[in-house]
Amino acid sequence: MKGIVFNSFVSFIEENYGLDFLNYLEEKTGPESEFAYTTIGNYSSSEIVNCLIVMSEESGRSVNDITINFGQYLFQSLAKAHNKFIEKYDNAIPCLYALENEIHKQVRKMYQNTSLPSFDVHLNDEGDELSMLYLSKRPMADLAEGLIAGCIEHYGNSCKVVREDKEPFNGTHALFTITNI
Amino acid sequence: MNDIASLEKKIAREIKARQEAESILESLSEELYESSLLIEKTEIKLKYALDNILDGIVVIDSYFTVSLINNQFNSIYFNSTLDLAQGDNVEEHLKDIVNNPSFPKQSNVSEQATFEIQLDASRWILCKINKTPDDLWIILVNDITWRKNAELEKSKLSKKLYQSQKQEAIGRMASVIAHDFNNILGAINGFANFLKEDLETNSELQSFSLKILSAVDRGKKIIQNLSEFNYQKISEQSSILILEVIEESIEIVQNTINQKIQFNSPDYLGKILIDGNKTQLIRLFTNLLTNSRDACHDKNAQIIINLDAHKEYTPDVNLLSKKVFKNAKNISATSAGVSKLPAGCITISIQDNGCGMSQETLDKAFEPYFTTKDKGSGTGLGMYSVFETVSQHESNITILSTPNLGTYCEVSFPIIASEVKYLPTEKTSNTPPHSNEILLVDDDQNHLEYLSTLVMRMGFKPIAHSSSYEGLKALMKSPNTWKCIISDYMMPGIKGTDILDYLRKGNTTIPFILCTGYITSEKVKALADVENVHLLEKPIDTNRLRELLESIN
Repeated sequence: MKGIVFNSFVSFIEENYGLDFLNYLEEKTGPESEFAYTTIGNYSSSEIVNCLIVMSEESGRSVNDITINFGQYLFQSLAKAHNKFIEKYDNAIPCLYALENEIHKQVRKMYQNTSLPSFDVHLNDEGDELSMLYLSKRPMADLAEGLIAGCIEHYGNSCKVVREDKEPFNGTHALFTITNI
Repeated sequence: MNDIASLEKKIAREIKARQEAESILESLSEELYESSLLIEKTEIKLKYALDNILDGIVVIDSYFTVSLINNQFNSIYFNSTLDLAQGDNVEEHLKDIVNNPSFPKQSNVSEQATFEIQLDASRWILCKINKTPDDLWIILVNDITWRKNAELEKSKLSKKLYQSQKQEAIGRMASVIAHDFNNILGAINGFANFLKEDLETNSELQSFSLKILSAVDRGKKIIQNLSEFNYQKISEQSSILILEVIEESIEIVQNTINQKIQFNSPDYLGKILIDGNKTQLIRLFTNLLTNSRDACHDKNAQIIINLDAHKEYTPDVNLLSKKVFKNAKNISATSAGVSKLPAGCITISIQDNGCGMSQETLDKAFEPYFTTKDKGSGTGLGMYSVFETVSQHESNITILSTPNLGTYCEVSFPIIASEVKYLPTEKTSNTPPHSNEILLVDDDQNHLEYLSTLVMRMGFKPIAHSSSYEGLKALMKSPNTWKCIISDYMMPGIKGTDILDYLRKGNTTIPFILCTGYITSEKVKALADVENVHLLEKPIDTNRLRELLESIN
């Protein structure tokens, strides 16, 4: 997984749970990277998953909830880093629609060894309903849900998001239907 | 953990991350360097490849500057007067291309265009433009000057061929008119002369006959002018190599067509001679070949010419149909000329895989002014001229055609078998017997009657034949019994000169009077100095003929 996600994850913990809690997580989970992430590096997603489990145990909130929250936070970080792309759109639906063809295509070109999730997207004729079929090697459908929510929040749209997990894949396959309301 | 300890840990993480980033960047920069070397090598190879292709290529970016260009482009487009290079703006230098109405300009879409540009009076190029969705223009140019010149040449040759066919048709019409009017004037002149002689001197009726004779004189001058204009069209036959005729015809037509002409001729036929008029025969074959050309619209169309010799040959439509079109249905056929060829003949066949013709079209094929070509592109006289030539050469033409399968056309000529054309005659005395009979041969009935009357008035016995064939037969039957022979020159089939040839081959010196409107023809002029041969220009001057007959007597 790309370092930008890990850097954002560290900031998310520091901002929402404090620096002490971050140090506590390092002690508790013993990540190989010691949380010293760079945006251009690649790291194991298990470092995030282990932290999420400890965070859930300590806070009493489910891993899914925390992951969705992190997804919303991650979108804001990505939006700051890729401001030009975000500014091209004034609505969440066309932005999400362009994600696969523009952002993921460029990322795949730059980092050939990366394994990004893919989205099979379909926009209805009216342009107000988008279906996104999330497919990934990692069970990060919650993170995708958080990112979608973060995108809608960023543009200030009112959208209804319906998530349908594809059994028995447990978070690696999910269909999101986003409708303008 | 106290705050300072926490912060120290954070700083330690940041320092570690920075060191790691530096190490990654160092490794990436090495990778980048290696990649740039690879790109440089690939660029050199690409440039080498581009400089060695025949097309000129230039790639223009969205700022209208050159991203990529090969040497060939500069050579083709600028004729090596300017070297456009990477980074140059093209709006000024390539304005002929970018300002062309077909040049694709819509942003963010993929488009293609192809157009031709005339760069100057003598240079043409073909441009193929491929515009990518991210606004790159890939422009390929080819020098098509040679193709344009060939097209121009082809168009000029087609026009020339068409003009010459038209002129030939007009000439032929003039020739026919002159010949027929000469005969009519001859009869009027002759009978008016009889009136002048028989009527009372200075009477009103005699003055009318003089007016008729004066009008005939004026008509005679007009016809003379017409004949002089057209005399070169008159058929002069000689021994010719048929292979030369076919090869020259192909050479003429080849420049005006795209189709392949395949010519098959066995070597032993290279020396075959036929009796004919080379100009007319070349015109016959160019007419047939251009018809084949016009019938073939497909680029894969083919015209096949075969040469074959036969001991005996009678063109048979049924046999030919089976041989040429196998089991095809709707085979149409027509033929003209002699139905059976003499022993020893040569056949030239022309076959195309064009649109073919229906029976209805073939039935009219030899009619003058009948054409299936577009208005303005066909005179309707091409096949009529073929028909005339075939008739004059005692040959045969047979045409078979099937719509959408093509047309097969076969022309057969007698081969010159020996030096003696007619049956040998017994050697006779040079002095004709004291006969009172004069053989008259003329295809014009009125003129023949006039000659008969004149001959009778002078005390001779006329034996008149309006068919030259019948006249020749009468001569062959008894070659030495004539006081004199008076013959028209231009007659269908056997001409007056053929009768004279027969007569002289038998070593007889019977006086021969040749009446002709074609006094300027080389063949006729050559007879002027031959012993016992007298030329009389049509319409005939009665007094001159009378003088001649008196001198013979």
